[in-house]
Amino acid sequence: MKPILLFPDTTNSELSKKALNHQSNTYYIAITAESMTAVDLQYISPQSMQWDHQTWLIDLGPCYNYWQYQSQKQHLRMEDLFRQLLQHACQEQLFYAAMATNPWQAILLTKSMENKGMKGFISISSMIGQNLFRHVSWNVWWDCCEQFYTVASRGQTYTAKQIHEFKQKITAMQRSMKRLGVQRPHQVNELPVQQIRRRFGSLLAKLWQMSFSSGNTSFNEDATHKYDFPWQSFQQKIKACRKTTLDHPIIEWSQVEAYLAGDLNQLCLLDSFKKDDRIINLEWRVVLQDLTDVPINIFFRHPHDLHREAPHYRTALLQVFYQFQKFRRDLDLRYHDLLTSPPAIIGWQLTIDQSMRTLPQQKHLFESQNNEIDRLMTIENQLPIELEHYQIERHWVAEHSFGHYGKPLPHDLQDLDSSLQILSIQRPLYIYEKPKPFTDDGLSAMRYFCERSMDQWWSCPSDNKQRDYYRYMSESRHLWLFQDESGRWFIHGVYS
Amino acid sequence: MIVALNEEPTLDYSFVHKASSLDTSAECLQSRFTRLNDFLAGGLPWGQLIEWGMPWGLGGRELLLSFLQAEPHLQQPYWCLWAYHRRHIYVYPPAWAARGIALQTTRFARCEHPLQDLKPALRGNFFRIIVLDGYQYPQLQQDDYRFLAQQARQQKTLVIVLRDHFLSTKKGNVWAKLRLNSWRDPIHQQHFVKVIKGLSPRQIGFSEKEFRNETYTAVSRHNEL
Repeated sequence: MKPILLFPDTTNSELSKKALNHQSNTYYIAITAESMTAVDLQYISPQSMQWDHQTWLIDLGPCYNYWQYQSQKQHLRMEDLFRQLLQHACQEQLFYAAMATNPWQAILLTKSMENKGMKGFISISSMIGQNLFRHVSWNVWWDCCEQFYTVASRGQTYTAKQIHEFKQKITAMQRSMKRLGVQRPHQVNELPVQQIRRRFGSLLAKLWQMSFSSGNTSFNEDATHKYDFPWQSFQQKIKACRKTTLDHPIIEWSQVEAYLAGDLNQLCLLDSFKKDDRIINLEWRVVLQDLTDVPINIFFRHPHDLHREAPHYRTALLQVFYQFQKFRRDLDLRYHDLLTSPPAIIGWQLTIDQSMRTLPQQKHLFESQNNEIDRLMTIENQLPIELEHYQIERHWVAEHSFGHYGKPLPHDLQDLDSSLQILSIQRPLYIYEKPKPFTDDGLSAMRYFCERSMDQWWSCPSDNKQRDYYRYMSESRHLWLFQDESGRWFIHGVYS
Repeated sequence: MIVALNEEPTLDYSFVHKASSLDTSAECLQSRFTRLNDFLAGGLPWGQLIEWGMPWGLGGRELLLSFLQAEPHLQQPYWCLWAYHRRHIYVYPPAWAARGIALQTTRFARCEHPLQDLKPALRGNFFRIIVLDGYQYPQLQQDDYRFLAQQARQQKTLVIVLRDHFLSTKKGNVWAKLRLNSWRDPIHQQHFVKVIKGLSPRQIGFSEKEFRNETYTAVSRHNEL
C-alpha cells in the first residue's frame, strides 16, 4: 500500500512527534523449514514463537539494533545478513522466510512464498516483497486465518466468545468476497477497518488492519499492540539466576555495588549461562525490609557479553546503577509523604531474563578486536540515554526527509538526490518539533524566498497543499519561516 | 556597528598543540575554509577544551560545521558526538548531511545534563570530537570544565563548548585554552570571528558567499549553474 504523506497537522503535537520519527522500529521474521527448533532461532533473537508445526515467528525487537550494526560492520545489507543467519539456523536446509513490520504480514508473505514455491528470504520493503504481498491469494489468507484461530485458541489473548465469533465470521467473509467477485485481498485493501469490524467482527478487522496498515507505521506505533496478537513466546526452561540474602540491610549504592559485582561473577560461573550467551535483559528482584519485593528490569541496548567484562562488570553495573537511582527516587518519593525513611534492602534475586546465543560463525565473523562498531555498542550499552543516529529519506517535505537509522527504505529512495541536497543546504540545522505560529516583533528584517513545497495532494485530500518557505533575517533572529495557503506564518526552523 | 578588520592577522604558531599520538597527520582539526585555518594558526588544536560564543539563532554554527566535515584524506571521518538540549527543537539531519557532515559517524544526544548522561562517552577517545551545544550554568560547572579539559588532554580529543552568548575578556574560563566569539552581520551577510583567549588578539570577517563557495562544493556547483 502506498504511504500517504501529508504535511503534519501543525495543531496536533502527537502527529508532529510521529513525523519526526522519534520512535523505534520493530520487525518480525516468519520462517517455514523442516525440523527447526526454538534453540536454532536463539542465535537470531531471544523472542520467538511456534506458529504451526513447521513455521516459526521471530521478534527482532530486542536485538534489531545489534543486527544493524553487524550488517554495517560486514558491509552487508540487512536482508543479506538475515539470509545468512537463517541459513545457519536451518543448517543449510531450504526454507521460506519473510520479514515485515508486524507478525501477521510476515506470516502472509511466508505462506504466499510457500504457495508459489519461492524458497529463500524476502523483506516486505523490497520491490519483490511488495509485489508478492499485493498478490497474496484468498486461499493463503483463509489458511492463515484458520491458523490464527488455532493459535488464538491455545492462548489467553482473546476470550472463547471472541474466538468462536471469529470462526463464524471467517465463513461470512468468505461468502461476501465470493459474491463480490474479489480475486485477492489486496484488491479491496482500502476497505475501512470500521466497516470490516461492523460486518465481520473485531478480530478480522484487526487482521485487516495489520495486513494493510501503512508501510510507514511500524507495528508498535499502531493502535494494535504486539500483545493484541496472540503471541506465545518460547520460554527457556532454565534461566540463570543468583539469589542473595544480606547479613544486614543496606541502602547505599556503594554497598549494593560490591555485592552485585560478586553476584555477576557467580552468574558467569553457572552452567546455565554459557560463554556464548549475550544478555539482553536482567531482572533484579529486590527484597525490602518490609518483605515487599520490587522487580527492576535492566535492559541492554545491544546483547551484552558479561563474561568478557569480568571481573569489573562495568557495563552491567552502570545499567544497574541507573535503574537503582530511579528506584531510590521513587522509593524516597513514596515514603516522603508518610514521613518515614524508606525500608532498606535485605536481599535480591538476579535473573538473566532474556539472552541470545552467538553462532560460532558469528564469533569468527563479528568479534574482531578493537573494532569501532564493537566499541560504539559498548558505549551505547553504558549510557543511560540513547544516542541518535539518523538517515536521510528522499522526500521534499522537511518532516518526512529523515528518520532514525535502520528503517528499511524502498531501494530507489536510499540515496539523497542532488536536487534535494541543494534544497537541504538552504534549510536550517535545527527545526521545531512542531512549527509554531510566527509573530512579527516589528523590527526591521529581511525575508528571502527559499522554496515552495507541495504536499502529495493526489494521495489524499488535505486542507493545506503548499508551503512557501522564507529565510527571515533580523538583527537578533535568523529563522526558517513558511506561509501556508491561508496566509498564516509559522516558524519551522532556526538558522543556529 | 560591526567592523571587519581587513588587515592580515599576525599568526602565532607557537600555540599549536602537539598531538603526535593522534592517528592524524594534522596537529589541528582543520576547516574546509582556509582563511579560517590561517586565522586560527592552523585550525582547532586537538587535545583541548575550546569555548566558542555564538548567540543562538544567528547562523554561527555553520562555521563550526566546516571543521566537522569529512576530510578527504581520511578513509573514515572522525566520530563526532553532538549534545544539545533545547525545548521542542531537534536537529534536522538532511541539512547537516548537505553541509558535508557524515551522519554515519555522527551521533546526536538530546540531554539536559551532559556530564551525567554522557559520561561513559566523554571518558574514552572513541568520539574524537565532542560538541556541547548551548549548555549554561548549572548544567556545566567549573568541575565539569576541569573534567572535560582533562579528558581532552589525556585522550587527545577535541571538546567544544558552544555558548549562546558572547564570551567576555573580563570573565574567564581557566580550563578553556582557546576562547572565540563569532557572529553574523545580516545586512552585509558577513561572518566574523574574534579571538578572546589563546591566540594574539585578532578578528576576521568574510562574506557568507565566500565561505559557502569554498566550503560547500554542491552550493558552488549550483551557483555556477
